[in-house]
Amino acid sequence: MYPRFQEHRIAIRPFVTRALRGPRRRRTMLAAALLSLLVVITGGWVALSPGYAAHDARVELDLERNRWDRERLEFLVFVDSERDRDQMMADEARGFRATERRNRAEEAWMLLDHVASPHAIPPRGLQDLQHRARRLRDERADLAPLDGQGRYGSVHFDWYAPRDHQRLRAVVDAELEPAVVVYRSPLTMRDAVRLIGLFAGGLWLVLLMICAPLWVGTRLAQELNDNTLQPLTGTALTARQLTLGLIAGPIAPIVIVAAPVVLLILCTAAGAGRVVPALGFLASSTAMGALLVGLSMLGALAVGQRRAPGLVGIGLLALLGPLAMLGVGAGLHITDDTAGLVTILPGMGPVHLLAESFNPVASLRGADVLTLDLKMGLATVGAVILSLVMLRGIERWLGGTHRSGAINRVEAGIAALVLAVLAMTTVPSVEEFGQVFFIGLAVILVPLQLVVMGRVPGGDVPATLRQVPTARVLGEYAAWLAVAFVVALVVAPAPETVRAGLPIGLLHLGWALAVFALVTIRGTALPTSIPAKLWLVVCLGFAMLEYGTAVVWCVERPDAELLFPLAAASPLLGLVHVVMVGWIPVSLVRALSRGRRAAASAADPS
Amino acid sequence: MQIDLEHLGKTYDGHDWAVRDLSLQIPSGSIFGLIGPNGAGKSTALRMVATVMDPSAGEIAYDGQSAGPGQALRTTELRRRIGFLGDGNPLYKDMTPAEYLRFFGQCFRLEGPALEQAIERMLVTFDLEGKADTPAGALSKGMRQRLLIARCLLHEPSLLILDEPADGLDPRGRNDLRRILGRVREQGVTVIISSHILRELDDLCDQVAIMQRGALVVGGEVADIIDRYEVSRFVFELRLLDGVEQARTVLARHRALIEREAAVDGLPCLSIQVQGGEAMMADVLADLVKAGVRVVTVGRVRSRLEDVYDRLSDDRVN
Repeated sequence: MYPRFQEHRIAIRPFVTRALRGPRRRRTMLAAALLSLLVVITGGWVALSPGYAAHDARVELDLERNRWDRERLEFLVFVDSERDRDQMMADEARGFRATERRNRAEEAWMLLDHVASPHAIPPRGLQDLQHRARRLRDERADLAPLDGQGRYGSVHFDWYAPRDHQRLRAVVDAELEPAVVVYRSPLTMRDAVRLIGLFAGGLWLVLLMICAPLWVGTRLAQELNDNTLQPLTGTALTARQLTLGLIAGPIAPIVIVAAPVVLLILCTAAGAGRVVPALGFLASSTAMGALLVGLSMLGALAVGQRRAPGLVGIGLLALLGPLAMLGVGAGLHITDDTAGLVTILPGMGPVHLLAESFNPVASLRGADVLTLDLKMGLATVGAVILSLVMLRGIERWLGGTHRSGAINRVEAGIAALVLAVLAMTTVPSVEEFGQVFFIGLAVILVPLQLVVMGRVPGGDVPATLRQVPTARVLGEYAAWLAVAFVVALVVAPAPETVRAGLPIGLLHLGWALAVFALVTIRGTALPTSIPAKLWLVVCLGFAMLEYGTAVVWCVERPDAELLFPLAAASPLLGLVHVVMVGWIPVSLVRALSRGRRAAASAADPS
Repeated sequence: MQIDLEHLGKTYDGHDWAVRDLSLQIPSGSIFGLIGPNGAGKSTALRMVATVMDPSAGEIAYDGQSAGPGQALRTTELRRRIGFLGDGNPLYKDMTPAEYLRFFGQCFRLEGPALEQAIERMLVTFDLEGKADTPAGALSKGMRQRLLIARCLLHEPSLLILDEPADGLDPRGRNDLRRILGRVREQGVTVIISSHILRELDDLCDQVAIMQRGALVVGGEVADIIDRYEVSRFVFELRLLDGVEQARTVLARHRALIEREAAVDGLPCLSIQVQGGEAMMADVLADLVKAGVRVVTVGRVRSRLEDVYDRLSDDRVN
């Protein structure tokens, strides 16, 4: 194990050296130091600064109630310094009536006047508060507005709103004399430490889940586009070492920048006493980062040769950015309904764990903790396994050794099992079996096509000579779907009654799933002209229609017209639908068997 | 390293064969030229020999051993013994020659002082030491080409494969290339080089193979090929003092073909091709003297590889 590790370490050295050559290493280290310093300063400043910008940031982060709200609720007057406070008190002593404190007292007097009205009837428990308010109003009639109209201004008070009671009680307790307080952040030094951890974690997520996949994917696309990969494949590096090198090179500067950030995360977690969730956060985000790196490499391999690296980069950013935003949005507000998404949204689990580790005020748990933790664990392990499978596929692709598929049967089976578990646990387990299975299947369908692509022969064989083992791949695909069915049975209880339309639904489902796979195999194995592409799109459209029909027949109560749904629109369309259901699989299988015939006729080069 | 190609074939589309039934033996330590017009299949053949492309048919043996899955030689092991310069081989434009060589040296597992010495040696050999710290994007085409060849030789391979290495080089660059290849041959490295410009190869290569439409037309030692293809082609150069018109009449009577007329050192000079060998030329010479033509010298012109190639490709266009 260790010699192999050493071997890989030596092999990735040229890529790391290249990435950090010349002044790049120094610049990256400087950037790392500056970013870390910025995180510490920003965290400390947001947590402790009494300034308006820091106050606004705390309010935005839900770490503090708005200052103006607090003044009203707690019956205070905030000033920025002792000097301002002394000035205000001195003005009042001189009889100056337009101070902020005086205004607040007059405002509060009007509130007392409003609640003390004989028409106001408080709940039984608050009658004493009303008596006190009434007495205080009478005692401090000097605070009544001079104009009668002002007295009946827009005062709103709801005896059934806890916030309004709090405000009234504060006024009564202070006997209409608001305290003048120098404003300070309500957060403590311990909160500041946690906030630094929170910011460091955010930076770590950006580096790992956006920068790393973007860098690696774009760099690989550039190597493919410039044809600089070819000399590398002729060196002493194995395909695996080359793959690791192509990852390690672009990631090297990110690792340097991230190293002090990780240190900050660990130190602040220790300081805040949240080491375990912080370690969970680091593990989960690393696994998800690896998954995204693998996916971006697949994307680069798919389009890198034909598209400019800049375009590939923009495309990756357009996918990674919204994915990250979705993860942040979903991870910060987890409920019972959304908790399952943690297995399919890469950023959601890490964001949740980050908030759990470092958010100084709010607890974000809105779902069953044990189930959520279990799903996050599943997602992390799943991401690691899927990354490894992708790595194997990419390695064979780069080495040109994917003549019988980029991934082997066992790897494909493992990937399919992991995908099935992740997809089927997305839906809350309280749902019915049918819903769990069909939603899970819809979620798994696209990633499963990637697995199918991995099983299609490639390599340095002319596309028209490629002998595609369609039946074998379809057989494996059926086995993966069976695994998904079993996983769904484990997750949700099997239905007690079987619907009459189930056999018809299953026929539609089988057709749709088979066509999805055939379209994938056809698109991967053979070259596609523009008409061929259009035809594949039509096939996909009918596959989706049939999938919808299958759901209706299996889960709902269909009527007979829905056997071929287009027939409901017009008999002609219905006829087209019937013809397509027959012709689509035939056309796809015919196209795929052409390679076998061509191979036979081309076997003799003479 | 000796290379044996056995019925090598490659098709990209399953119908047309870029290389078909190519059988060659390339002796160890020789310079082997692969000649042919654009599209003849030279690059495809070289890529297969360099192990970066799989043959659709046939086998390649390196010192008698085949490489690949289930074979005696592992492809990665073999690649450490090969230096390959493909056509259109781009550089990392933001890397300097020293950085570029260091990167590839590390990829070939060269380390520490050995690597630095190899880089220094290559920079000196290829006259790049003055540009060691200039980004490759700012180098001239010739310098870039030299850098690419330096990269192929950095790890001291026993087989060097160069696909159109002189493409885009000026005359001086081509001379440098010949000088470098001569030096490489002295180190016992087998060199396979392709070109469609024959003058680059005819006095450099020990053996050549001429390819047309993916197939081997002729192969062997350069002198043998020339001898073989000039048996029925006798070209003589006549230098005359005067009597050019009479000479033309005599030559027409003997059905001799005047290929070229020129003036050498102020004297008219005719290149003629005679049908019938040296005996016929003796008759022609006697008649010329009889007709009053004053002949200064007569000499046979040996064919060059280019002549052989022109002749072979007269009616074979890719």
